[in-house]
Amino acid sequence: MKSVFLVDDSATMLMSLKGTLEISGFKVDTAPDGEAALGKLKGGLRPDLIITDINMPKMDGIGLIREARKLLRFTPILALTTESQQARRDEAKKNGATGWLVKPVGGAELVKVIRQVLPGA
Amino acid sequence: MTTEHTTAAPMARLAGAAGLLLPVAALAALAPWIPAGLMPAPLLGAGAALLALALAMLVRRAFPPASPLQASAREVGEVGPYLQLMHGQLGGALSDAEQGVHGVVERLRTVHEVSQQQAGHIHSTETHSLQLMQVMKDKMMADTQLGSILEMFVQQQEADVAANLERARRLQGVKALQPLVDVIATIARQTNYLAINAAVEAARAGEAGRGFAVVASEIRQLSTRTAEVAVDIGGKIRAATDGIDGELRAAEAVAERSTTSGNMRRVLTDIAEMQQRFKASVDALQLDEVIAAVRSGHQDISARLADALGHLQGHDVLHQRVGNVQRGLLEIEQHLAGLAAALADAAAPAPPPLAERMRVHAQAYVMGAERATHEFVTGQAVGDAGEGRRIELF
Repeated sequence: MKSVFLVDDSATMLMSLKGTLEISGFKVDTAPDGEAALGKLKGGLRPDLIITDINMPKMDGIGLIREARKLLRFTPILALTTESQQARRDEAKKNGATGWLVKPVGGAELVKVIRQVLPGA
Repeated sequence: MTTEHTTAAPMARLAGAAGLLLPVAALAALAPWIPAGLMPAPLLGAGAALLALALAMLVRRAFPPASPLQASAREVGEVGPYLQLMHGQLGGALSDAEQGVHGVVERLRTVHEVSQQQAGHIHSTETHSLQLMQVMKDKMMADTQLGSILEMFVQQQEADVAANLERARRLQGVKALQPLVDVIATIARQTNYLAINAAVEAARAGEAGRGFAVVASEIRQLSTRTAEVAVDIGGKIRAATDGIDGELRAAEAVAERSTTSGNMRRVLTDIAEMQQRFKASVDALQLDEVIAAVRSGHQDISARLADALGHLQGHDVLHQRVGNVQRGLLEIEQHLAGLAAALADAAAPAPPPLAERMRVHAQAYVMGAERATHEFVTGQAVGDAGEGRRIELF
């Protein structure tokens, strides 16, 4: 079973995405912001995929991508955000993001993208 | 200015207004002390706004404005609590919507759990069905083997019965020896008579017939022994034929009992028919297809639930947009407070232009839809269009 690490400051987002992914057969871990997520990664959490929001308190998604990339060189990281500015998208790409998804993304569509970046999932 | 607006009786008017607004103000004032679980944060905000409104009304009644400008300044200043109230209302709506979404998520997950339980039951049924099918197949095979064994047994039994009957019938040929024995006995008796006659004639011949008398005696003894042997053989043949008759009767009795093998043949026929019915039942059950259909249904339900849960992200989009509207309301409130202060006191600094506030506010937009709305209403573009692909893998 592949594992996904969800990072979002919205409890509703975490709840709905966790449901989507668990129903689709993934193991899910969550964090409410970049700082808490980085703490879990430094604590040894090794997910197969990270999906992070961009605009979050404490540490935003770009910062998390940058720091997480230092720990997990090959783990795919997807940004799932309402942010639509090209500059932010480019910044995420530059810091090691694997893809950029603009909310809302339907569950079926999200799972399809995840299976693209996680072959065999 | 009327007499009722003089400062002589402000305390009395204050008391009158307080009589009207005190219950509302008290409720609003108590809000911060009500446990958070019973009073959500947006409601607390709305309570604070209510308290501010109540205080503003008290002040208005107690201290009427001295000039139209002061009245205008007060009016502008009193817009703030209304904006706070709207801010609180929006927050309450968001909170209600959030609780609703959480409820939907929980119910969708419950539906999935129920579907998963069904799938578990189906899996269990499939396992048991496969076991049952295997048992039925084993039974059919065992019945086939039993039928073959019974068939062989019946055929062997029928062959044995026929062979025994044939043997008994062939042995009855021994009875044909009895007349021959009778002939031998008759010849022996006649030989004996001849020997007696020869002995008589030898005696008449005297000395000359002595040798012939000896021969006659020997012949007589021989005929006697022959007769005895014939009787003995006859007895043995009778005994043998009696036994053969018994065997024949027994064989015939067994042949008559061959109804047993007939019954066995009927059992064999029944077994064959039962196998046909089993096979027809197994074919008609089509358990594989039913189970596959139910499993496919569960997978379809799961996929649709997962998709539906994903679509609830729309609430997050709504939350962020309304959050920006709330921030805009607070900025307008601050702007109006600054205006009110400037109107009331000519020495007070003028607040920054509203356009500047709106420009800064627009910098906080993250969604293309927010920027599009801003541009549509104000005619001013904000940031880049943000029209990149919704899903992009780098």
